[in-house]
Amino acid sequence: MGKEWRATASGEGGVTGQASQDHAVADRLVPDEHGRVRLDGAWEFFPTARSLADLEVCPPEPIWVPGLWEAQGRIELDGEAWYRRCFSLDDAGGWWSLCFAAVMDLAEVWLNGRPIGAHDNAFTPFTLNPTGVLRAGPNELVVRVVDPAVDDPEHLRLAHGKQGWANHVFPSRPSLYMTYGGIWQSVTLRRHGPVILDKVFVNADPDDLRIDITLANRSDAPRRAEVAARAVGRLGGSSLVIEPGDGAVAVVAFGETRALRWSPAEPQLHTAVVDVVVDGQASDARAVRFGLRTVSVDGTRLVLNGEPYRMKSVLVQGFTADRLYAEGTRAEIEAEVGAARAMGFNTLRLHIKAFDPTYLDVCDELGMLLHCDIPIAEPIAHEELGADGDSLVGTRAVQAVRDQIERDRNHPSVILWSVMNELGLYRPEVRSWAGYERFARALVAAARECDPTRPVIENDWVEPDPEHVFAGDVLTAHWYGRLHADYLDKIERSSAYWRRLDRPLLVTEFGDWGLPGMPELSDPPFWDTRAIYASGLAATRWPASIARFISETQRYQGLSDRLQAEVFRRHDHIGGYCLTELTDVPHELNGLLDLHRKPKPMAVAEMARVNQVVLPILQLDSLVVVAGSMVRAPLYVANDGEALSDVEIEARFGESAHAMHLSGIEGYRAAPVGHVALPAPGVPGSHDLVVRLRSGGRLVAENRYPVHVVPAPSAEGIGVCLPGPSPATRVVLEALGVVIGDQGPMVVGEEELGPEAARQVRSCLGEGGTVVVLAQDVARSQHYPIPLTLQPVETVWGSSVFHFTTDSGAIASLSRRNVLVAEDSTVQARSVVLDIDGAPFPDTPVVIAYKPVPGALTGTVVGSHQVGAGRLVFCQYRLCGPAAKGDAAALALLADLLGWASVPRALLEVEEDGLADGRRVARYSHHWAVAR
Amino acid sequence: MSERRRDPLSGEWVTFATHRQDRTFLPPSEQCPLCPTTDPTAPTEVPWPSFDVAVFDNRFPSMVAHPPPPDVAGSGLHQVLPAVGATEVVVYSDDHQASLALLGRARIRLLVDVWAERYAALGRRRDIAYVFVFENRGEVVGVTLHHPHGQIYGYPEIPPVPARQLAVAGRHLAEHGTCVVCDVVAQERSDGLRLVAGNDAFIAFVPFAARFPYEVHVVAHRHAPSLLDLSDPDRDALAAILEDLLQRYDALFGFPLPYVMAMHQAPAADGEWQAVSHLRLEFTPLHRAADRLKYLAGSELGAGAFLSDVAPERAAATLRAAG
Ligand SMILES: [Zn+2]
Ligand SMILES: [Zn+2]
Repeated sequence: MGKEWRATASGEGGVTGQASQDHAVADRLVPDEHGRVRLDGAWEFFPTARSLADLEVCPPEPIWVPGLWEAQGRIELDGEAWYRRCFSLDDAGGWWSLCFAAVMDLAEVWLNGRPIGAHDNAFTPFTLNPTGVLRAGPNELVVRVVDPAVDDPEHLRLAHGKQGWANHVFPSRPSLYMTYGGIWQSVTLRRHGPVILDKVFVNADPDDLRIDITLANRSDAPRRAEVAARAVGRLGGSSLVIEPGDGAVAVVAFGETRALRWSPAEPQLHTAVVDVVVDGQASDARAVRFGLRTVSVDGTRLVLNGEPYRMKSVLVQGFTADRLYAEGTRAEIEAEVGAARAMGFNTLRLHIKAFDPTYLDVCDELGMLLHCDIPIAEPIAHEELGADGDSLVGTRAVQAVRDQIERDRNHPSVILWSVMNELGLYRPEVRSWAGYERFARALVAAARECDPTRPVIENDWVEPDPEHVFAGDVLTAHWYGRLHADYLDKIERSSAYWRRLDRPLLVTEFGDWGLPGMPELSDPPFWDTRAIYASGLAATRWPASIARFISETQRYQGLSDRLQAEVFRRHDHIGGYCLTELTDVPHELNGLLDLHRKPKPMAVAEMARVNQVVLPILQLDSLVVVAGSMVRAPLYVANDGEALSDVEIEARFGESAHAMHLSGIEGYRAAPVGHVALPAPGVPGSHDLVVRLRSGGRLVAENRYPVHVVPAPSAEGIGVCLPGPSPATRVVLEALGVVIGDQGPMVVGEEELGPEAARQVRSCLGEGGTVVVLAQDVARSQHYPIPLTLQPVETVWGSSVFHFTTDSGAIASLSRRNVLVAEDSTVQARSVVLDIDGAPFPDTPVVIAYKPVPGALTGTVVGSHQVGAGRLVFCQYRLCGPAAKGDAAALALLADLLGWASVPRALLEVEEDGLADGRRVARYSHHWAVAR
Repeated sequence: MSERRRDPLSGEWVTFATHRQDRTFLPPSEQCPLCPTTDPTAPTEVPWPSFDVAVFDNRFPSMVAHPPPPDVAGSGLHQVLPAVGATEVVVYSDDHQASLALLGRARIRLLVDVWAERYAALGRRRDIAYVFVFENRGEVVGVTLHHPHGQIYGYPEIPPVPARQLAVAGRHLAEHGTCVVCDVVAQERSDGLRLVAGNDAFIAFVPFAARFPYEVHVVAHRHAPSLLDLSDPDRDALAAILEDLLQRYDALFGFPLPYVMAMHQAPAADGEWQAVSHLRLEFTPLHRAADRLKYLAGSELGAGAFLSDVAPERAAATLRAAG
């Protein structure tokens, strides 16, 4: 096609600089064999211009297209800026289209001083008709781009993605969730005939393959268009007359085809070639890539190519270190998708952004499934929500759905649309408003109209909440929490509760935090996390390197993510999960990779483990067990593949093993298969409880649980005194073998530090005694014998509270200088000691809580402090409740605490001196003391 | 001359400290620099009249915190760096005649705490990448002072032997998802063939492919990257197993067995290495028999390929029977 329009081509392709006006250089551009002229490259940029006329007086700066201006050094710029590109064409005859692949956020376009159109979506492509305005010789293309600031009411009326998101939690900057602006995708001018192919949709159905072709007559005369389409070895077409300025739809139906199917395992792609001929001359042509595959909802399941599909997804936000809110190169995208695949993910959730189409191409080629979000998200004008035509925000949102789906619906990798995300998050009542319902229904209807082949999620929401889901096919949950037995119980209960749904349920967001590597950079970018975290950490008494803290948090993140995912995998009716997220987006640091795509190795390994097709899962109450005790747990197998026969499952824990044989395991199901009971190792420390599943003698899957084995908790023979009757404390102490009388340290029970106990505490300390004060709530801080502030610790979205041990070693059942991962997951510290006696830490802190920004907090959970002649030992973990139920972690901590307070232990004493030549010399000895 | 030169063929760094030629060599015991200072007019390296364990900077250091510039100018091929680092001497006792095996468990336990403290302190220095605790015992391994002592070096980079071991452990982790040393410990504990001694937290065993006949590795059961990760009971267990092993060594041929003790812990930036570092004390005696030494010859020195004529399982049985 297109040859007839090349009559004037000089044969010199590319750009030849030629000054045509005094203020600008007009490149001479020549269309390629497809009639395309690329307008990418250096443009003139006028950040201070406020009108077209200003371009004559404002000094231009160079800027690169495509690209966001924030990624080109203009981080501060919000609001309006102008772009200009001057070029010259030898021949402007025929019909033309000017295509912008995406401009963030609002664009108005002038050609040679005449307005030719506008667009109000940051992500979707738009095509303008410059025919008749474009001229032979110099042309001047001007684009006014507006990036409304986060506090601009216009921002709330835009269908946007992560721009300006949750700035009240993570202020931007340094967060990357700022607003962006610029012509961030390609600009192309295209010459064609009088009738163009406006849209081509291949329905991908191998049983009834159809191509819907939308044509537009760009000329001022009626035209007869001969449309032809070729695909999977078939040829079809039709002939129709289109009135000037009008459009028409031609449907080419191929029926059933046996051509190769597209599947994640064998991503076979086909091309449909469509062209339109007018007056015997090719007028337009397009090649569309597609795949043959089906996706449907069957009851509570999603079905892909007739096979039950279980989502193992990871959320991608499309931020990069150098281009900020724009995707990387094709090679970078391939590496990123390949990395997710290597971790066992079968799906990516492309989050509230219409990604660069290259991203979707790569996923088509690699067989990575996609759950695509339409960028309609908070903050948004809730009062103005409504249907298409009700309000600007309703109209824009419906258009956003249409434009993105029409752009992306031919990609076989896309299996699911979400038309909103967490709309109403900070104002849930919005979901009960009539305007919201009209808005929701309009968005889903628009999605179905543009693409009847895929299921739609209405508002990717935090709870399934079926009463407020009006039209969506699939329900979702976004469940966030930190690694703790209480939280795992909570999602266990929620998962079980929602078994009653009649639609598929996907947990489309969950995930914990782990810090990325933080190399010291000579010229750190504005979002670099090191300064904030290194100084935060330096103030915490963390005893080891930053690198170690980081790797410890990654270990925490990996186990937290995996144990949560295991809950979802155990429940057959949960259709899958999506982990937040693949890469960090500073300062949201919950990625498996950092922003530079460097892996957090331990988090990656844990997710790869839980993503196995077949997964044996133990439902352990706790990851802390007593040495030599019997460990019992229900065993599940989640099988996302075909049925297995002759199955052998072996659980191994140190020297002991437990095996069971099953004749078979059903395919595509998760189900309990029995119980495991085996003795824990006799040696304290961390031991992996390994579960292996073999079928027909072949190893199919392996899972492992890092179990913290503690010595049998005993405080046998330790004497303590209680300041009151303390029945609850008494029971637990006696169970540990403690002798309650008038010898040994004083123990103040949980929530028992009142005025009378305080009096006794003071008197005991005054006599040089040791007092152990168990967890107290904030209101009781006034009763401590020295000034002390208790601060509640709340887990809200933003960052995790990390607990770590110092080098003290006082609590022998906890390793030194470790971030506690599961060791304390059955005991809660609802508040921590923020300061004591005017200092941020006691003289001997043992367990410290550190919550990085936002709401940064550092406090002591377990520690001891000299008070006059006596010693105050405190522990803010709630031990008595779990200990009474036999919880190993609680019992071990309590026994350690009492031992520490009453049995002297060897502490290293150092005496330093200098030698005559200045060298250091020191002598070391052991000093025996209690609670130091 | 004090500098570090890189061998362009092996890529390994060699430290030059020519002033060390002048260092004290087997002085008579009354001039021992490691003995306590009893006469203030004749101070030794330890300025107290008595001590349990003492640590001081080496008087003839091969590496220092603020080294002089190198004597030669380097080139792209021949790289030269100042000899930055640390060298410390750890004196185990104020008794000149003592030896670690005879000092008693409490003193070894103190030594474990001292090693841990020095590992932490040196590891915090930005110029130190690897803290190496070691002991040369006996004249055959080059000891210049008989007073019981060990040493601690802080290197500016991870030296070749641990670097190679960490790389192997990294590959094992990538392939199997586990720490290779943890796997070895599990294997040795279930095999039992090469075990020499064991307790709640540590085992001592002759490695499966021992390079020296009576080579023994003392390894933590659990994955402790360094001494700092050990609990107090773990430290007690380490002291106990060291005492046990050293007494077996001395009983083996009926004389104090010379050996090199090398302790491998996580590099100073322990975070990156946490998953692949597993605390390990490697003892390498040079004796094959009471009257015969194993010398490093052509294959070992020239090719790095060790040959051994004692089966590790047999050596382990012999050591189990000794002591
Ligand atoms: Zn001496
Ligand atoms: Zn290990």
